[in-house]
Amino acid sequence: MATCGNIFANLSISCTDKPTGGLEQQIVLINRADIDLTASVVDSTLSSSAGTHKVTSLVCKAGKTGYEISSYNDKRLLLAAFNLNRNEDGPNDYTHSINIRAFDLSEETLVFLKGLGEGAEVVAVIQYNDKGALSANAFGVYGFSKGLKVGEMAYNSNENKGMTMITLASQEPDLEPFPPMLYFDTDYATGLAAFENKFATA
Amino acid sequence: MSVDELILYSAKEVRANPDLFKEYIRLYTEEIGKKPNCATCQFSGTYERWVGNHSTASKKLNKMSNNTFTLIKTKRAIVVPFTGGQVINEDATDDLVRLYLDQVQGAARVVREANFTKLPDEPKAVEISAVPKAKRPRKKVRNGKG
Repeated sequence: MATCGNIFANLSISCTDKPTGGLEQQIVLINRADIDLTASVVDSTLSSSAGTHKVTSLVCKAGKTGYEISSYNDKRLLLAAFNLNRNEDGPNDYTHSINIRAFDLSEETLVFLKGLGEGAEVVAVIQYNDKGALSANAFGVYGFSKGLKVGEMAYNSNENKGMTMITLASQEPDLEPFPPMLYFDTDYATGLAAFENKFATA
Repeated sequence: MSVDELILYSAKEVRANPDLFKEYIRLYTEEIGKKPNCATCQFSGTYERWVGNHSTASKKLNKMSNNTFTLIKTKRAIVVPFTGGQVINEDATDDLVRLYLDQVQGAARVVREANFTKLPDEPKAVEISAVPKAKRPRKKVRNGKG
């Protein structure tokens, strides 16, 4: 019988890398169908004594790209979150979610909102403020297995400075099997270059 | 025409060109031992499968750069930092790979090198031809007086 539910690592606080939370205010959203799964590499394993959980190569299909959502660097308008859903009648699963904002109501923005509303399924790559030693923990991948879909989309001209608030999240029954994965390709600089290139393939 | 040359054409192009079509029938028959199924609805599938069997040769011919490095199998593309998004793929130049590797030193370089099963060859040293010695102007020797 396979036993997956062991722990085998210590968790300790670093005196030099204090936890601070927050995201860098750029998120790359990729249509899930545009990810080249033959060229992308997922290193995610779990046994009773060891495990891995990262994407080491993330590549779009030819001619496809991700799209950057950016905000003010000094604020926390973009947000990422995940939580465990405990199921008594089956394996546990996870809800991944990303909160973004649309800053205007231009035609381009409205078409973006329309696309989300009509069923876009995206994967989000985010960059944490806390990057860890050698920035090995800089990037997270949300919704890789099942995709994030629009959960809430709300605009009110008298609230939130007229910005449209959007939540992209795992939706029932397509919840994620695991927490968000790390994205770590070779080293921080290589991963950052791919991130800034929006994982595009010519 | 050889197989490697023919498979550079698409099924549509081969079907539309009588010369290419004739070559396809000849090469296929030589290799497989029977004529291919050339009914319109079957042609593309049969041709594509046949091309697929020769894909390695095809890749070699299609390769745009005569580079000397090889990426590991699991790595199709590496975006090189600080280059505005230049990508190392199988067609990239050796110079781009060297630039990527030279951005870091020591253990970090070893990590980057691990993305390649073969690193690019060292650039060939440019041979500087020996500069011919300038001829010394001969002193004019005057008769007996140097």
